[in-house]
Amino acid sequence: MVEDIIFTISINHREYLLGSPIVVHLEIHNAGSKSVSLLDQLKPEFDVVKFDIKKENEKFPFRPYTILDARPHVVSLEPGKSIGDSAKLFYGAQKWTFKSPGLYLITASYNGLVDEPNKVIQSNEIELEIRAPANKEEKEQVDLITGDEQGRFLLFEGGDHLTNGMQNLTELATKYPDSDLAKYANFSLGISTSTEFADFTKNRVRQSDIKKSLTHLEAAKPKLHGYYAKKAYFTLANLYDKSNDKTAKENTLSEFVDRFSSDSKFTDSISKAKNMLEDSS
Amino acid sequence: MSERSALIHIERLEGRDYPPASVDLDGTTNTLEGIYNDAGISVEINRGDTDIPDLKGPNSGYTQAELESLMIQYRKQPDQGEKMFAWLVVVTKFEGQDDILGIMFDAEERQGTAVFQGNDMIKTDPRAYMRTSAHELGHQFNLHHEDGTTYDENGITKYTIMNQTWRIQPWPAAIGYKFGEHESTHLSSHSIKNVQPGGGRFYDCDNEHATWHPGINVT
Repeated sequence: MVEDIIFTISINHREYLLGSPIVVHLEIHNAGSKSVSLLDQLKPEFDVVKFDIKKENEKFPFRPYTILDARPHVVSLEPGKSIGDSAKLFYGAQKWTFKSPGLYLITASYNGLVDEPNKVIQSNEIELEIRAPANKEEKEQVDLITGDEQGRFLLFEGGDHLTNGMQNLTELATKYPDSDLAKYANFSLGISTSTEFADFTKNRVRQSDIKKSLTHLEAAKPKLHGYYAKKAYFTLANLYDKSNDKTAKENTLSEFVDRFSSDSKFTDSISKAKNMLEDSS
Repeated sequence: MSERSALIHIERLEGRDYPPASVDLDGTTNTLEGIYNDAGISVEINRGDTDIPDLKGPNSGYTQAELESLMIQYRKQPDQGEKMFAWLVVVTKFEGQDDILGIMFDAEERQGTAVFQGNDMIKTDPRAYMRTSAHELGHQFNLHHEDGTTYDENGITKYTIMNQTWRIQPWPAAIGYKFGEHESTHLSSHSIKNVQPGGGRFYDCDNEHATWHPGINVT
């Protein structure tokens, strides 16, 4: 039965600039002929999936910044079906994961088969090339994103108390709006301002700022892929919905469908977007 | 048997309850103090005098970032010499995920843990509330899920504290309100910097720990 479960990890590009907040896509596929009961809690925070990373002769495990203890969420995976999720690997208990340029080899293991709790399923190996900044300007962009507070802000997709991190990300988005890293700064600032934030250091709840969020997410959207694109488009659609701007909502969802329909990782999201479009019309 | 000692400070959002002082299972009364004392750490439990304002209101969930801001504001470590200090906060829910029982939300420093009392299992079953509290605090003392073991008691396989809750079947008979051999050895004898909250990073530990499970960074 274990042989029928295929665990695949992937990334959108092979090469990224130093400081890019790398997210890995995970997929569990049932290639057998019987349904299999398994846990669908694939994020590394649940400790069901573990990642190993190798750079040159050094091999180290990825340790997430958060450890979650949860009730099991069991699904029955039918033959031919898959479940998927994403894992933010760029920042964890050892701060920035991909700290220097070079080739990183990433593998993962999955330990969530309900009927065989001691079985571990290994994933494929993926190659990730982290490139050094090519010039002085790129070096400054990397410096603006690679601080600890920026790492946590990108990881949490918010955190008003991380004032220094927010300031640097804002500077990155403002000073280098067309840079590759600015899209991540705009994404995190846009998601952060799309919701309220309970800031215990100030004993107050900061309300959402839809206008500011739309500005950041619209700036980020055209360059985003994978996890980031999915979240940006749906957040934008929800914000336009809240603003009673039906046309902008529908245009956002249509653009999402047009851009990503051919990507199998987006199958569920495309269906969701199409349903939202039908409900809207 | 305790030689090491720790102050465990527990705080709660207004409207939340503290973890139960004790729970009974199979005719035995179990307490946080007893669980840790048996593993080699003499603990004093201190409950906060003043409740933390529930800024978002009853039944609201809090994000990881919000919990971090809560910890920055409310975790106050007293100067108490060699006595270790651990901190646990009782919150209603984790934003967007109702099935989360507890969390260690800063694995970098191992200083912040929370239990979510709005979770149905924690809310309705004091045995789960007690176990999750002991488990989350265990993470702060640099214990990992892989350190959990099983033992046999009256024909039932019991799961020690650091096992993930989903492994404990049948519930509640399979709950073991104790740390196992590995967990106890770590708490009582591994380098204090790798045990005390705020010491070495999560998974940084001694050679012996590395023989128990993969992923230990020997320091």
